Amino acid sequence: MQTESGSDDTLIRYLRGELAEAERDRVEELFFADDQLYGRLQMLESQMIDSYVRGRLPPDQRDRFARLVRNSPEQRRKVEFAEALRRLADRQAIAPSRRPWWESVLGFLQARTPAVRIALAAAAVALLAMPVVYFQHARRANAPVRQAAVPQPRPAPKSPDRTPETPPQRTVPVLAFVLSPLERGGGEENRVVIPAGESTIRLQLNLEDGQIEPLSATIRTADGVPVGEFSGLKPQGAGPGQRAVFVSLPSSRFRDGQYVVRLSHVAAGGSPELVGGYGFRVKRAR
Amino acid sequence: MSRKEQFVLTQEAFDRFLARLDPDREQAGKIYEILRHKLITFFRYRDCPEPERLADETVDRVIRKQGEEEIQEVVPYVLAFARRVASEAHKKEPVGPPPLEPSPEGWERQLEILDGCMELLPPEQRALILDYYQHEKSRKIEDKRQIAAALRIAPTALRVRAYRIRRQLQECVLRKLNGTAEER
Repeated sequence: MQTESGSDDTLIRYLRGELAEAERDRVEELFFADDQLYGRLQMLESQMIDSYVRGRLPPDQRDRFARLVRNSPEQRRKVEFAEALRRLADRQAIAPSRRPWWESVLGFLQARTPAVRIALAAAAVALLAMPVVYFQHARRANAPVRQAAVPQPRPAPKSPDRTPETPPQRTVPVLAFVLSPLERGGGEENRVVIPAGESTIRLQLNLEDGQIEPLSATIRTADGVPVGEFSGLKPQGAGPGQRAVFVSLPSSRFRDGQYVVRLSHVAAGGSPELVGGYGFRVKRAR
Repeated sequence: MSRKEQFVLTQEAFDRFLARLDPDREQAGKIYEILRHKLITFFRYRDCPEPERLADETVDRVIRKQGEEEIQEVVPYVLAFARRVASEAHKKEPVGPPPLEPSPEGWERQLEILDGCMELLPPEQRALILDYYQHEKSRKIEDKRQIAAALRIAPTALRVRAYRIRRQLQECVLRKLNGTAEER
């Protein structure tokens, strides 16, 4: 949580329960008397809730906050809302375009009837639910169409797919693939075709049981050479009745060949338990 | 049961209390709602169990007192009373149902509703809030600066703007959640 003023700092310390009694009493008097200050306190509280759902509060803060949440149905609803918003934003991040493609098309055609929207949304959901790999075009290819479709373009191009590893202002296409567990996939081979050039590979690992967390994922070649390791993964909604975890890594990590993903859960003090296995073959375009 | 616990809030007594907050009933209702939220916040951060119930209990007791003694300033009086209620609450066992954790069912339901509420936002607000929270994931202050620069506003203003949209969404979700509960 960033602070922009001394007043924010005091309010944050109030929320964290770090103020001495007299100082706490003073803050209470101030926010009871001043609606604007109370609004500010609520804003800082919502940021704290966001930090809580993203697991960013230090352990002592987290424990205290968890107790406050348990004590209050209102706070519980706020936490559930923050979790829903986080998941919605994360889900949107999987798409390479800033706006859903169907929305751009709708904007372009100016056909915003509910029936058309529902039909297109259903088509998008069906695409996401496909048990085999899907591929979405790089953002560069879509950009001119989107610009033409949106009457008032967004002020500046920004990269919603940007990961912390990629420098700002660069446009790296994100290629998203859906993988089903090997048992359920029925032996179909998932093929991942990576075009030439730099891109980010985002894998959606569909789950049989979405309630287990946290999860760890390892990606290895068929020979056992590690390609990527991820821990602390939380299952997210990935379409109607489907839950999945998402991992992203640069396309440069992959060569032509077979890859295996192992998804595990480590219970407190226990050994890793395999939750699912996934396989896919990579073919790099020359 | 003591005489005090037998107090029953009447519409007349509540109306008198509202009139003390503001002569205009509609405005008084708004002030009351904010005051109630402030009380909930107060009890929550005093680490009291059942902050919502304690907020209502405080208001009930203040309403009862207004018939017994002269109250000069309502809001400071309410705060003073809340402190007394908080102190008592720490000495007593909670009387409500056992506390609940946030549940996957809870946020999944809100996620469904949130999708619909997001659709009601103007496109630029929808894009802003999604951008903001996608970058929230990366924790990068620089990302926020870039969004702010693109919108030609200060990072602080971006934070406030994102929060306002978020609050709008939260109110929309809550309204629909309550609507669904009423329909059942």
